[in-house]
Amino acid sequence: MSILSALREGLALNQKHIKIVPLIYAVNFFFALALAVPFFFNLFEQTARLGVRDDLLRGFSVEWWSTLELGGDSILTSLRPALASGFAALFDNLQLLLTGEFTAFGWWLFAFGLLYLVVSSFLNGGVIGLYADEKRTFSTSRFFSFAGFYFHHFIAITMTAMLIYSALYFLLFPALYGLVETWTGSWSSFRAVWWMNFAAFFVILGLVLLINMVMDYAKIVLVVEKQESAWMAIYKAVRFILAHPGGSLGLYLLLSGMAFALSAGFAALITWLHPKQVLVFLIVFTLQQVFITAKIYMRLNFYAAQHQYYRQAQSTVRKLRKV
Amino acid sequence: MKQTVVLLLLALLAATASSQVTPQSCLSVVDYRIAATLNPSEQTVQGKMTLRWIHTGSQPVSELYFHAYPNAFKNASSHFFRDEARWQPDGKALIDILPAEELGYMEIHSCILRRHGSSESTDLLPSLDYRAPGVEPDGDQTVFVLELPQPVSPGATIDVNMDFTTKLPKSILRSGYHNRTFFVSQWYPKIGFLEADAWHCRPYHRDGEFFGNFGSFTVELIVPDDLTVAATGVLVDSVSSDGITRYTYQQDCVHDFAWTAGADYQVMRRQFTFNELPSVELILLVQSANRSLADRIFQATENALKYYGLWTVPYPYPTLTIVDAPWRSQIGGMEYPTLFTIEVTENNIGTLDLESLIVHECGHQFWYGMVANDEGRFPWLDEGLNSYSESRVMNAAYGPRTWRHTVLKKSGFGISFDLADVRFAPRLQQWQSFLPANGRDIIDQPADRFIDHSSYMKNSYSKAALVFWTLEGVIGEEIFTEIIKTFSQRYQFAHPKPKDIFDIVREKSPIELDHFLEQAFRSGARCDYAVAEVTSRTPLGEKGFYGSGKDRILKTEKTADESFINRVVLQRKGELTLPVDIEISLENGEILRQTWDGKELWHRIEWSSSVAIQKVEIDPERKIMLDANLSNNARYRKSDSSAALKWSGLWMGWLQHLFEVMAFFS
Repeated sequence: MSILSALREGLALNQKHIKIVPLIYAVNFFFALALAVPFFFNLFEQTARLGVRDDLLRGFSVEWWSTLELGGDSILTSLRPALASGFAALFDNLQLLLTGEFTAFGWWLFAFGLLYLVVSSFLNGGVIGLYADEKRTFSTSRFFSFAGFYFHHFIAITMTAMLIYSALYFLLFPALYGLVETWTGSWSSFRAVWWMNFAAFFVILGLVLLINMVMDYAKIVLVVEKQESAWMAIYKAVRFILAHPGGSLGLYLLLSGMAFALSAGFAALITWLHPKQVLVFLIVFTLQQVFITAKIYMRLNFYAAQHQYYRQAQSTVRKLRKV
Repeated sequence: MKQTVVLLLLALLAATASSQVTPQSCLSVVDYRIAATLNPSEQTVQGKMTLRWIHTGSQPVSELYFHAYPNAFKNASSHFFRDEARWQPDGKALIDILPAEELGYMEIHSCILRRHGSSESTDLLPSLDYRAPGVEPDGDQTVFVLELPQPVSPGATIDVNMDFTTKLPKSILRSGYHNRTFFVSQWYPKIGFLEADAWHCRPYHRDGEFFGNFGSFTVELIVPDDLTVAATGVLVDSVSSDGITRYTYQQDCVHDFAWTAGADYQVMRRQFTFNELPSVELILLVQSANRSLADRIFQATENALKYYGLWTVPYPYPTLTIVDAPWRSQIGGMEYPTLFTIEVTENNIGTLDLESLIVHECGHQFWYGMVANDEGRFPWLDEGLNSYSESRVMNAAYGPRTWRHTVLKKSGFGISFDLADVRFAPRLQQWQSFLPANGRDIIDQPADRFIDHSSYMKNSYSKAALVFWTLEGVIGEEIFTEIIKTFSQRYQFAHPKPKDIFDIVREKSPIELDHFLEQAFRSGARCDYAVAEVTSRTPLGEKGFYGSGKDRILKTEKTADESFINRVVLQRKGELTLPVDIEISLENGEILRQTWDGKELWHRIEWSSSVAIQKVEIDPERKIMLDANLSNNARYRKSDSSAALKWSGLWMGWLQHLFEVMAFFS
């Protein structure tokens, strides 16, 4: 089966279950809103009467932020000039993927992030359960039924993934950077060292994406093959990828490219818009919501396309065996 | 023929030099004549030096103190390494990291004294002892003393001939070798400074820089042909033979001499001219990889020469050499007479930080090069004035800065974005830098007395600059420019002390500032003025029992007119006191201005008016840059949620994306 047909079928499958997107979006929105409301009141209390509100409305107040930053770890300190730019904010988040510095924006956000991770694991069960279901129509009750049914397996996969990522972040990557530092220590051009560091980032990104792909297939294997063990599903996912390296990697990279293009397009738009007036800000906020929705849709496409690819590849293997 | 033309040009340049600065331009206390041979393979400089020293004091002198700065890198007993270790209590000390063979030292092989006009000579080497004036020997060998058999009388001149070897360290701080680049600074035995019949000859500490007598230097540098050379002063002769070139540099009225020889330099030249300011030949030794930056480097240097020249005294030397030190060489940005170094790094190349560095180091040609205070005892005097001048030049030449955000950062490398909407004045960087150090230390103290290295930097550079910005704000740009101009004119080729600039402030300032100067420079007093309260309420009117006895009446409804009782409460939250401007904006657009002397802990302004207050701002023109919290300076009477809504929305959007990043791991 070709990558493109898996993608096409995945998109069709996703389209059939399009109601999952607003459901996940609502979870994302309310999770963020739960923090944004106290954040707003905190910010309001601090700035509503102060002259800095003019600077904040026009752009940003470095004066206010410097004093705030010095003050400690209020949730407000995660507000920073970078949020004024689409690209900088997106890359800040990408940096987390590459460095594992999840507490960089404070423990509160990290704790909420972990909770969201658990909830996402739960929702993933519903998503893949529905994709794998022969009936192929969306039903909220069946979605949550699948989510609940697979939750313990999915959380086991997530925890296994977290262990592997931790090993990467805390053991492999420091060693890799140490190696780069030693290797480039005597180089006389910082431009060359810059490129070397950049290459190291790419290696890391590649490893992170590879593990993510394995875990995606593990979830698919677990549901499609009705596996009883999360670890066995991971093992089978690895075997599947090794058996179909070109297709699985190609499909994943194609989907990643689409996700990257979506993010870059959004970032460029936000950077270009400069939210200085209230009306422009409202447009930016709406665009942000559209972007998040699109991003969730893209994430689901990963599952749908990979699910289709897996099923087709397995059915081909079975046919061949029969022959 | 070609060589003759070059020599003629060099002679012409030397003549130009003498037309601008002559030995008579300054009180020339020293005349150094040095022949220095660089041995690249051994990383050594063999020197033969004749120092002619004039005793300008009033009492006979029986000992001579000299700096032997290269011994700062000799062993673990030096103040330099001990200071370094003190500031890294949890980490590895520098000396633990460096291979022993990469350290450096200075060795004196001979030392002969000749009195001027006498053929008699005395060997002083046996008397050489490593100790600094007034300090018990403690293992540091960066200062040595020579006992004289007979005292030198006031006004007398002596010649001291010394043969020495300086082993350059693998560049540690400002000096040394890096691959095939040699930066040779603080490298010769430099006589101490005699003032009020006391020697000032400070050991080499980690913090604090250099200080010396004005005089003349004639230095012959003997270097292999394949190395490009630059040095303090004017190249007056250059002769090549057998793979070796002998360069002779000469300069009057300078207090130090530094030079460099390197294989990767490319030499570029440009002539600086601006209106009535003297023309200066700029010589840039740029790393091959940074050739494309030459225009930026020249431009920033020209901006510095122009504005410093206009605000202080014109740069008087015929040449100015800019050395682009190799990356990671530790030579960094540093100033020497008629020469300064910069280092292009991954952090400064993409921003105006590179220009800031150039302006700063070039600015030291004025504050240090010509107005030469003791950088060990009063580090803030040149660093503070120079940091103030630097941000003033940056503002005048380049305008507000744009916030730069770097992502995917690892060991200083990353991808940077300019955030066009986030702009700030260059001096705000100094303000940001000073904030964490606010109240931790005092400014006016010797460089080695600060609580740590960071405190030295933040107080001597950033906070001192902010004091000058505050002075400029309080007494006005015009008067403050006159103050620094007078200071630079009065102390050109001299060694001022804090009192000297305080005296000029006193002389020129329309208001009394002694108390402020004392608080700002010699105490940890903090400064924070705030608008604490802004209200406009209707008057109380009449309600209650009025009168007494039979005439007592009860009013049950409050009666009031249409007017407001406007009330503003201002607060002084810090100890530092200054007069502050207050701007009160009324709802009808009218603006009222007042001044508060800022002495009491709080100040209330209350008046009755038909118009309510809209906003009150203390120090609206940001004159008081020492104010540690600028965001409480302006307050509205009514609250408005637009800004909070905007940023909460942007933040929420970012957070939603962050959650989706977390979902990646699920």
